[in-house]
Amino acid sequence: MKILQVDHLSKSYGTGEAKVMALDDVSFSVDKGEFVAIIGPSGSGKSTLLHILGGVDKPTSGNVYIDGVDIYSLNESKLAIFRRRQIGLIYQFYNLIPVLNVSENITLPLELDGQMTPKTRLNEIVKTLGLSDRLKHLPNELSGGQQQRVSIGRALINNPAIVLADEPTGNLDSTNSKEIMELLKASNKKYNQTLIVITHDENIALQADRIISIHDGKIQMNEVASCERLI
Amino acid sequence: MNVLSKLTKRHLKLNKKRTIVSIIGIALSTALIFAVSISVLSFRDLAMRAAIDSSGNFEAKFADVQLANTKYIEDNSNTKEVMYSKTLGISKLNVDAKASKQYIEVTAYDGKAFENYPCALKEGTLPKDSSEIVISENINPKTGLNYKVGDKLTLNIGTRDNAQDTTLSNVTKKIYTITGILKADYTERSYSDTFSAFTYLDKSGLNTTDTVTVGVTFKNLAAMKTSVNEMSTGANAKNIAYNNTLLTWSGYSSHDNANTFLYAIAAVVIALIIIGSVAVIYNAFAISVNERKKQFGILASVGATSKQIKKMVFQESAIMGAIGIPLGLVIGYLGMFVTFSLINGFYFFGESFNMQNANFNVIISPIILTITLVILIVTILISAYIPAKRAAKVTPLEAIRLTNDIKMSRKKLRTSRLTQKLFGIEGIIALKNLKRNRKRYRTTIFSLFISIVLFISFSTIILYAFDLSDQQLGTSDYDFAFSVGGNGLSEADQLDVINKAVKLEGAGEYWIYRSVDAEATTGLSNDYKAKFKKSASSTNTDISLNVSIVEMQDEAFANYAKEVGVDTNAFSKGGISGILVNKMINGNSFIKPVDLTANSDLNLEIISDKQTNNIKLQLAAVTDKAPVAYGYSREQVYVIVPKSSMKNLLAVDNKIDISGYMGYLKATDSATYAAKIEDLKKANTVGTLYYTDVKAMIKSMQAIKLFMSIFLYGFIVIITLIGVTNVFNTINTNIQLRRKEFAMLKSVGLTPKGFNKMLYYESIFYGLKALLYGLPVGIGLSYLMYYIFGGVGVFSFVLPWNSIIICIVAVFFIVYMTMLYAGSKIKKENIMDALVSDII
Repeated sequence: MKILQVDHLSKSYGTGEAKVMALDDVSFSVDKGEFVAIIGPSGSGKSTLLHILGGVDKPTSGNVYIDGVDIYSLNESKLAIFRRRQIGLIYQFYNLIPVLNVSENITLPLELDGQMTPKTRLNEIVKTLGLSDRLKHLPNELSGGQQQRVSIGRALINNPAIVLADEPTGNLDSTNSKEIMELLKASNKKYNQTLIVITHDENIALQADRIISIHDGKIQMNEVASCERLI
Repeated sequence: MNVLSKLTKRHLKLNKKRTIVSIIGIALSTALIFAVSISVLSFRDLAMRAAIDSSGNFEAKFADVQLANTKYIEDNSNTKEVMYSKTLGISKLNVDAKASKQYIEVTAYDGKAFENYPCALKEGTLPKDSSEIVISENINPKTGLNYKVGDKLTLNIGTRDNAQDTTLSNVTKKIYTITGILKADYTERSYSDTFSAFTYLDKSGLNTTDTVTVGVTFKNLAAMKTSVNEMSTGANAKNIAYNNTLLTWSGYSSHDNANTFLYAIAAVVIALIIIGSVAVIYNAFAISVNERKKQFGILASVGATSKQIKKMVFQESAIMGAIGIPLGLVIGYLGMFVTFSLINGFYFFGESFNMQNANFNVIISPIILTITLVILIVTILISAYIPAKRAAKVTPLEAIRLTNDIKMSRKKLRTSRLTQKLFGIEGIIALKNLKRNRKRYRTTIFSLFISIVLFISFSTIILYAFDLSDQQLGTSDYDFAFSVGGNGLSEADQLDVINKAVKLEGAGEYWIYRSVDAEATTGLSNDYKAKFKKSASSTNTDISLNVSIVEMQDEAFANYAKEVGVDTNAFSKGGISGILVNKMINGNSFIKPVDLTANSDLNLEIISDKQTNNIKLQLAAVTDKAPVAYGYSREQVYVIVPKSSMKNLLAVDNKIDISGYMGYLKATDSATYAAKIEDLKKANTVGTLYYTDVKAMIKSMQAIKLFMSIFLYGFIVIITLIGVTNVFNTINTNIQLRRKEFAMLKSVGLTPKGFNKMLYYESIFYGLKALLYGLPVGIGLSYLMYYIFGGVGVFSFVLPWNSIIICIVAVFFIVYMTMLYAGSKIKKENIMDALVSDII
């Protein structure tokens, strides 16, 4: 079952001579429960792709369907509501709200949606993330790894259709990196959560079901991960 | 140019909006301080010119100086100018014996005296030698004589030892040629019995022992005292007069310094402006330094000393000051120029100062220019000092780690569940953001606070100083009031003049009164006794009530009696009977001071030169209805009596002191009547007619009120603008700093509506806080003003509701508009761009 469908997606910056194609006619699809890694060198357009998938940036042309919805046909408010219900975003620099504590940060998408947070869901997530004793802490009282776990919690709390992670371990040491990836993979397995991760880390890419490699805004490779091909 | 200055300039350019707003803040502060100084100087200038107009341009005057001795005054090193004058004496004019002015007084002036003493020509020329004379414009209309320019005037000039004397001594005959007619405004006193006339003083025609009066202006007023002593000793001149009005306004009064009040007000106002300015300018630099923290750290890591970094901040302030201060001086000057032009258009100050040409001139002196500059430069330096010190302290490590400038704690950020319920997550985030950095928000709230307090207290000044007194005048039940003054005028003469006045064209109903003061010690009510005891300041324990026995003319009395419901026949029985107006003001309410009913006797004491008379006044009626022009008093009650009763009263003791006649009139056509009564006043030869035009008074009050309102509200508007620049800078920067957070919120699904909601709540919380402090203080100050203006007891304290409502609306409007402006830029921004941007 396709949860994500990308059709002829292009994104350009500037005009004329200075025109840069960040994405050039990209098409692919992702099935529900799949774990996809997007790799590529700096400036290849992989972050742009992820942000367009997440509904926080706009394509120049082409369409993105999530769970059958053409997300760029939605107006700004509807897109925002769609985001908080269907998309979970994880960033390299966590991007937590500094004035909200751990539990408030995690439940933010639910609160914005005006929903009551189901206690069991929150407990389950914080237990999985190992944050049970940190619920009342402010972000500046947490380590980098802990902060990233909060942002994962925030991405997962709503049980979104798709979780997008932009170099989630880029700012962490190897132990923390490993932990974070385990968590993401676990949720992928446990909740059959679709997961798309941008990474530089080969080891992470290799854990994925599929690897999409982007170069100069074009898909160079879109295959099931295997050691030989990467090497 | 050094790389650090380049950086500073680039930083200012990069943050163009904030730089411009800060420069506007500096410019407005400069403009206000400058404008206040200009106002003080210009007001002083006007007052000085008024003083010169009315009393002359001299500082001290020595009378009875022998001509030989005048050199001690003239040659003093501190003497700027001297003017000579000599009173030659008075001469009887050939006029009716009843005329209020019977004499002409001739004074000789030299050229300087004509220049400097009040002596304005209506027509003709000033005398050039001792055979020429100028005479007062009042002579012809008041005496019926007909002197023209070019006529010969023969006078028998002599002196009288006493103003009451009718014979003159040392009479000499002089024949003058009239060369001009004088405006009599300042040279003639309406109550004196002389007209004025001036001839030329030819010193060469005097003996060295003849005495003259010498007026002096000084080069250095501060040394005036010493110089006057030297002169007085040298010239043996003991009779010294000072031009106190002029000296007072010059700031060198011989006794009390009335300028102090003006300067004190200016000082308070300037202090307020400085507080406001420091808040804005400090805030601007604090924000700028905070933003560049990382830059400072990097500079430090490559070897910039803390001194160099401090210099960068001061340089920034110097650049802003160099643009803002001159701009402000220009704005301030132009502002006052426009204001004064507007005010001069109303020319009502001419009336209050009794000046021909009472225009405000924009006065600038090097001193106020220097003061303004010093105040502003010091303000800017103080404002830049603390942020500069903070900037210099930034270590490379701190900057690179970029630890949050804001120390947050969970406790500080705690919000209640109720907030969550009421405002939702948007409200929670808004409130937490407010709590997150109290220091930064404090300046914003402080700016709003100052504006609120000023607005409410100034509105109160206007309310109590004008609106309420306006109301009192507005309720006046007559349009004109008059009386007649003059020496030895008989009652019949007075009544004659008033009777003429009340029958002029445009006159309507009128009332003529005169009164005798008496005292009652019996028949007083308990209410009055209580009031008396409460207010009695002396040790006098005998309770007494002032009673004014007021005589009313027949027709008016009959009407009044009818209104009260008494038959006028009740008064024809002889004896002394009248109608008691038994109502008196006590604090905020009224009391009945007398405990007597109709047909009982009020026992009164009337003290005359001869004896204390005990009078029984029969009360034909007791009413609470006051006759026209007799409002209720807090000092006394009135008994209204007919002419017959007053006659009987005066028959008891012919030494009883009775007031002059007073007339009150309702006009059917005020404008016509005003012109007619002025004509009558000029033409009147029996005594002097004084009148008050109530409508004109109200009009001039309203003009002054308008002027004060323009001035005060203009001031508030500018102070508020300074505050707004501050609010704008803080909120705008704050929102810019949080753009990454906003982007984050949007990426997790905050809708544009939710975003607006958040800003909306944040502005509400801001506004509430500013109002929470501002309103009570403003209202408190209002009460203080109410107290100072003596409103207590006269008016009850009214909360300035209009101002409060305007304040509340304006505060929310200003904050929300700023938020919306700052937010709109963020809303348009691409979420991704904000997220990947390097904040700070």
